[in-house]
Amino acid sequence: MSQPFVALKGRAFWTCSYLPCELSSAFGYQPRRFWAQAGGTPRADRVFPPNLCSGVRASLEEAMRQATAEDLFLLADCCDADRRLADALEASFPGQTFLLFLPRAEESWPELASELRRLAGFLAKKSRRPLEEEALRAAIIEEEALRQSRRQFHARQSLGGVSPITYYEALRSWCGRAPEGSFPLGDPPAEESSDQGERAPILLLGNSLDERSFWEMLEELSFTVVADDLCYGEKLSQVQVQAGVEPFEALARAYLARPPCPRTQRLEERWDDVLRRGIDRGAIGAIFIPTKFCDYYAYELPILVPRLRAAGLPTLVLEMDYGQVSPEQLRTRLEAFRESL
Amino acid sequence: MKAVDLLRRKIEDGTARTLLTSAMAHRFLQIFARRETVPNQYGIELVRNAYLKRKPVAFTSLFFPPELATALGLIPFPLEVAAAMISAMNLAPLFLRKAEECWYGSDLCGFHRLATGLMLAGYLPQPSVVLSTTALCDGSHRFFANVAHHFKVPHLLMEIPNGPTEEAEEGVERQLIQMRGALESKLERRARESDWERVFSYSREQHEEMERILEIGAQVPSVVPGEISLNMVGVFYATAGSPWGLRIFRNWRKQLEKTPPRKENYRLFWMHLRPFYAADLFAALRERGAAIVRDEFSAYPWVPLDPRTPERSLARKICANPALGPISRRLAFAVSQVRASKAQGVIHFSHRGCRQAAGGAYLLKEGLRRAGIPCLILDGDCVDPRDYSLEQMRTRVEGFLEML
Repeated sequence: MSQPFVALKGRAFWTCSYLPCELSSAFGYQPRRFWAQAGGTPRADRVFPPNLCSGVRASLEEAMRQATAEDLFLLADCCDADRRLADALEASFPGQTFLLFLPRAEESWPELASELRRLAGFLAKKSRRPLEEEALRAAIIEEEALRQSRRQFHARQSLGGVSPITYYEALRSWCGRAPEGSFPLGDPPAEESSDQGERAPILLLGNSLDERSFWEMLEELSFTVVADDLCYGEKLSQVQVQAGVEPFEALARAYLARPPCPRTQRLEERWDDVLRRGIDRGAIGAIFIPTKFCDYYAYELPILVPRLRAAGLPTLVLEMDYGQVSPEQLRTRLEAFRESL
Repeated sequence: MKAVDLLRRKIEDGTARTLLTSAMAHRFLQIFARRETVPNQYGIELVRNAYLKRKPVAFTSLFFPPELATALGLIPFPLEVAAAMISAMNLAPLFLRKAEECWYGSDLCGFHRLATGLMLAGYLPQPSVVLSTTALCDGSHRFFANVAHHFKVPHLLMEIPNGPTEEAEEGVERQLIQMRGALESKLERRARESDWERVFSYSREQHEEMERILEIGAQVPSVVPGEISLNMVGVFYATAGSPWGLRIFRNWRKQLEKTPPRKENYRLFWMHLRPFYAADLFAALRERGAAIVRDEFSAYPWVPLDPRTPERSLARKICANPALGPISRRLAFAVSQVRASKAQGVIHFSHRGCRQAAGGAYLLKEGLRRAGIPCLILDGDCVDPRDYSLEQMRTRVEGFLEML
């Protein structure tokens, strides 16, 4: 179950991993990804219809429960649901929301750089401090160091050396949501020496998996995630911001060049990349969990599932509402899949 | 027998796939087509031109400017409009099931699922290219990408920013220039200024006819049958820049000028699209004297198109869409249209798979309430009749009308 977070001054909540955290850090805001909370989305359900992305409903719920006038909401127009989230946040927290136009093509980096400058203007206004290029460069270096440690973590993970729960805690930490007492941001846990080798290596696909109980089940049923395609998972660690380039240009180029998500125009490259990573790392199966009502991932199913199966990776598709899991049904399906591998 | 009935029968018995590519069958269909309405004649000719490959076909999304495709000698084939037509012929479940069997889940937009079903069942013509925008619908990006992948043809996507700023228009113009260049290379054909003059002239005259129709609709009592107006929305977008667009809307305007006023107890503004299969719902509205005097998509503003700067003109047209950007723009547009058409209330048809319109419906309703305009949100699906219940809809609509 998700932990309630401790309120800090100057949090910058984000939803899309194409938004560079470097910018909010440079202005002294702590980047925090929205994280699904236990207890459903009763407040958000009064604003959004039930057939809107459950991740967006969970984000609004969290903001309505806990956000303060000091917080900011940095969103990208990555889908219609996120645009509506921006509308709802603006209605509840006027002036605290920024919606970034996020291009889909890698060559559109000048447009993204321009949008990032606009975002910097918004952050400067809100923080009442001008943008200092040195602060931005320092934030880029710091974030790059964090990504370097993530890459090391993923290298270990790809060999089956990380348990699902450890990975879940690492994801929370990287998203600025580490519960108290766990390892701090940027400091993933030491190598695990348990019997990871006996676990079933899998490729995990889907947008976001915030629900701890799902990861606990993966742990109990002896799975290990050797490759993933989560929005804020392995793909995000592959961002590499070039030093010595104008910072906005460097950020725009780096984020659009990272391994693509289903929203981009580099789809063939994406499908090949996902499949190759799964096979190269010895996955013996794939679990695909698209967030309910997410069109991007839903349109991946007809393409990716047949490809995965044709490549010899048995694939389990689970439909799971973000943050709301029916545990025993889920366990039954995962158990059956584990036995079939 | 009407041509549409004949086509339906052939689809039901599974022989239509062969007939659609038969020149003789199309000649036969043309004989029947003379008895059809002008929009149906357009549909029959579109099918004939596309399946007989008289020109290269471009699959297009609803808000893609067909003027670009027409100026380049392509046949714009609007997939969402084709899906609406199939639904109106009561053939949707056949193709929806086909899509759902192949991992296209029922949460996805019905228009896209239905068009996917048509594609998987082999009922779509072979396109040369797929052209779409992200305007108002992010799902359409991936739907059209999957279609292009299926047919192994290029997908040219235009990304539309949030609202009509100078910078947004410049960005869209750049993309249009690139897209035009790519299409001209592929087709080995250039669009000359005279081509733009021709298509823009049709587009302008079609819009002038639509403006007159909107004025007629605003009269009290209104003579415009709202359910027909809602049928025409897709045709309006799909035929812009073609002689068919002008012919269809001029003919309709002339018909309306001769139509006697109907009994009118309530005046309604309709938001989003209609359920295309649900003729009985609109009959029920008529029985109660409820007139849909205007709808959201028919009333989108006109932007002058200059053949000397075609890409800039089309960029302005795309970015002027009042539903782009924050919901406050769509709300302001709805309030202005309600006032202009003297409507008493709003029905928002929340198409189940539409994240853009249905996703913002509660926010919109609250905004309308603050402006003193009552709003009913009707949940349903525009093309999938399988969960439709007339009685449930009727109960909700009648409750709303009583409140007015």
